[in-house]
Amino acid sequence: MKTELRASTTTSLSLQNHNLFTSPQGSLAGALKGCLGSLDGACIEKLLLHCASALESNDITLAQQVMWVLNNVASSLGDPNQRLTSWFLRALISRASRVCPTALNLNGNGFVQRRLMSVTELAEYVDLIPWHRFGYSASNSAIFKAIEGFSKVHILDFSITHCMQWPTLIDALAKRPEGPPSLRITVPSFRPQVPPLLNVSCEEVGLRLGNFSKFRQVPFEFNVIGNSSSSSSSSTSSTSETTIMSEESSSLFPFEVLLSQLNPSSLNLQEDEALVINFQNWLRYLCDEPNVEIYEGASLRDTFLNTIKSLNPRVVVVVDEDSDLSASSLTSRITTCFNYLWIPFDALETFLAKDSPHRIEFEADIGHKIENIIGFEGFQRIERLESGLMLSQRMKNAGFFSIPFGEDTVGEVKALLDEHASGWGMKREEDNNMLVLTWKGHNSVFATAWVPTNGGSLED
Amino acid sequence: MAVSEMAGEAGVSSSGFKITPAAVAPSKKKRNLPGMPDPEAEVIALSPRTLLATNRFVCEICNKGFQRDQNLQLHRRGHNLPWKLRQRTTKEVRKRVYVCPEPSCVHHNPTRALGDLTGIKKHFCRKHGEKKWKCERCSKKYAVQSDWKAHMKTCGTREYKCDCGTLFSRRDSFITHRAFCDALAEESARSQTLPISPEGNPNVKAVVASPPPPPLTPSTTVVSPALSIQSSELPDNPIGLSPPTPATTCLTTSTTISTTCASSNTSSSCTVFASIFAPSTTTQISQLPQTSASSYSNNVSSLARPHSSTTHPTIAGLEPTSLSLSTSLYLSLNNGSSLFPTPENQDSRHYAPSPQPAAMSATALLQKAAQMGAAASNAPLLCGFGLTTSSSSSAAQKSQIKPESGAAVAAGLGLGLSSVENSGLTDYLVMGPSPTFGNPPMTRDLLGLSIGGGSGGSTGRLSALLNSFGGSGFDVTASPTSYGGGPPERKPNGPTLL
Repeated sequence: MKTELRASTTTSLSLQNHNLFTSPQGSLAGALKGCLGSLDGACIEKLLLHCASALESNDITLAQQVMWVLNNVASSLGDPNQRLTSWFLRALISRASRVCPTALNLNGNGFVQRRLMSVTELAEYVDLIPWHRFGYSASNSAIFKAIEGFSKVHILDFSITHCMQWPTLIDALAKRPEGPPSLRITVPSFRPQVPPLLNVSCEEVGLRLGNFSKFRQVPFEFNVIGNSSSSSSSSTSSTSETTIMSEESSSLFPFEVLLSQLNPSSLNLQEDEALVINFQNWLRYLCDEPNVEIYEGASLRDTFLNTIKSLNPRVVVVVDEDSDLSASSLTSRITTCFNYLWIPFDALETFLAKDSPHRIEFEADIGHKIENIIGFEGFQRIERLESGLMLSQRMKNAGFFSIPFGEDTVGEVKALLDEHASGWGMKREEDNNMLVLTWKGHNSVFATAWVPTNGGSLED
Repeated sequence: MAVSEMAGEAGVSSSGFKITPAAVAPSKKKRNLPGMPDPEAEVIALSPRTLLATNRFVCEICNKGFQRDQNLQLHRRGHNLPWKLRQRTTKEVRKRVYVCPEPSCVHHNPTRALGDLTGIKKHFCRKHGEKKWKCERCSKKYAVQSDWKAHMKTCGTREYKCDCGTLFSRRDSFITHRAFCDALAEESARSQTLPISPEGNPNVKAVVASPPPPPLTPSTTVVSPALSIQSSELPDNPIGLSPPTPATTCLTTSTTISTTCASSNTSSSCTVFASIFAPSTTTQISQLPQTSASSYSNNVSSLARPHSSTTHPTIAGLEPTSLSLSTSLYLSLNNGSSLFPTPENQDSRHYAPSPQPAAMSATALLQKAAQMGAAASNAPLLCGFGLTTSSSSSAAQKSQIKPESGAAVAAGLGLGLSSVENSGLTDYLVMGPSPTFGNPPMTRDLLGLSIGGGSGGSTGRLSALLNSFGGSGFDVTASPTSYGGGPPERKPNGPTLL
């Protein structure tokens, strides 16, 4: 990822004040050491790191200087490097604005809200690049296999893409030789306020899924849990609300509320139902810091997984982005983030024009993520992504073991990727039974499938 | 005889080939599986150059190239040159198989050789060659032209059509769209009382007979009013939100990010949007404060926060601060850009940004920074972060900016998105005094310099920075990059001047 340079004629420095050249060393010089002649990805990364460390050590002047230089590199309509830099710079500025302990720190919310999409727009959005569709395809295929022989299926869907995953599964179930099972999908009423955002409620989404299922003759039911008002509403009786994402649950701990509802009675679990848990870009929003008061030293994330396990699901599919972005050190996060998020930027670059609105929107959503990862700390930093490897370890610790994806799944995913640009690939990590989406060989998204160790009924 | 034939076929380069017998399990005379050659076959290893060569047979008169010797011979007839068409020899020709020259390839092994020359050529191109052929529609790339042609036959032809008229080339995107499409919702609403016909196949290519559904009133696209507000390129505000309510201001704030494309590309479309959605503006705005403040605060255990119950106080509380942020920043904006129609900022001229980053070398940037820093009086940078801006000029400018506060907020919190095309935050980062950060409250200008070589530390920084460039200017150019396979290629340590 280098900004290719056009060599210009060597310009002599005609500075007005020659007495400026006094002391040789300076922190900004250090920042730019090794950047002789090229302001490429490595250099930008260094600058970002220097800016961050300057902020952390309260050296505002240096931070300003670096930001100024970065500002002249950054461009939201430039090449991927420049675009990425612009989002990082935003995040750093956002962070800087909170360094100063003033009234600005009202609620720490400096970020602007993302646009609200319609459902059809979201459908288009998730298919822009195989970033999401890869996970859908692998998961749905694993789910399909796991529920073989069952006539009732209950999917507990934790995802940030508003059920975009399910139409293809419903379609596949409709074509099942032995006839479709009856399908029940439950989603939490609370969803992290991250893009992509919809302009309709989840009940409305459920309504549409219900329509589609009816059209495909798959018995369908949609429930929402976690609402303080109602614990469930089926698609046939729900009123379609067009208010926006009104999770005004009485508690201020939405994940905890959700956790409390993860029990057989609140979920209305049935004995003859195959319970499927779907985690799609979700687990990262559960806090991974150990919490002594509430969870006896475990983290919310671990506790959540333990609770899930206690529900004895038939299969748990986990899809997320393959990078560790939740280190406590800011500089480490910047490095990892910068070295990971160039991947979607590069993919979009090969595929869409510089001013394509879809591309800009997609990049803005990534920018939203960057802003949270870099600009915030503590409980405000909600993006705590961990890589496939780390997550796999966590799942194992929670008492799950991984099941491999079948050959037909692999074939399906490969066929999917064939229909996209040729940089997309897939690899299988045998030890973890992971399928990984790759772009030019770099890991982007991982998909895994798990069953609980005891009582996991998949082994016959 | 065999050797000479090989030499002839090898054309220009006859190096790098050998003939060895293949040694595999006995096979039958019928067609073998690919990569499991006839044990009697003659194994031929051609060099990559040979494999990739296209027109190897060249006419000596006119230098026209041909892929086959036969064609060249026929061509030579036209020059009245002696020609000779080689007839197929009557004796049994030993079958030839070819191995791939790429050592890491599975077909490099003679036991996995491929049966025909064209096959090995294609294989080599596909697997180890550069993909030179690109499909325009879906941007898939191919190394072999015939593959590309085959793809072009099918690309875009197999299409799925939704009732709403949208076409899809991929089935999964078609299914997903269809599930959520308004057309389906309409249809099911209409057929509520009637049983659905069991034709559950969404795979119909023909258009369904039902008339296209009327366009749904886009009452839920709340973004559009904001378009007209924040895109300050519009001289007038058709929605008539000129006295912006605090909610509106934050509406602007909150929806700024999204509309980068819209505002930077087509202000005309903004107008269209604005006029269409004008009636629904007021109702929509009221909904937004709920969301605009909630991006991170929702899932925050915000017991410590006073604003948990109602969101409006939050908005109200947010607004003045953001205004001061934005206005002060705006004051220091070097906005030569067209973002604000009336930039009467006294500093604007001083901070006129470079039109494109590409036009400036880093050294020149620093020079400019030094000059600007020397000239600036008291441009308040980071004092925009809610801090004291006691200068009267800034106060005056604050009031001046009020009518455009929406846009200013947009600039402030939207971070210079809207119409700043090339430099992401040009308007934003101007250095200046930052008293509250615990630094000595002396007037600093850009890059910490003051006129006449003030504080040593900050001066040293700039000089050291300039030193580090070593006098050789370099450009920060926006040019397309090509990504290699891995990180080492991505981040060269040395200079990469072209």
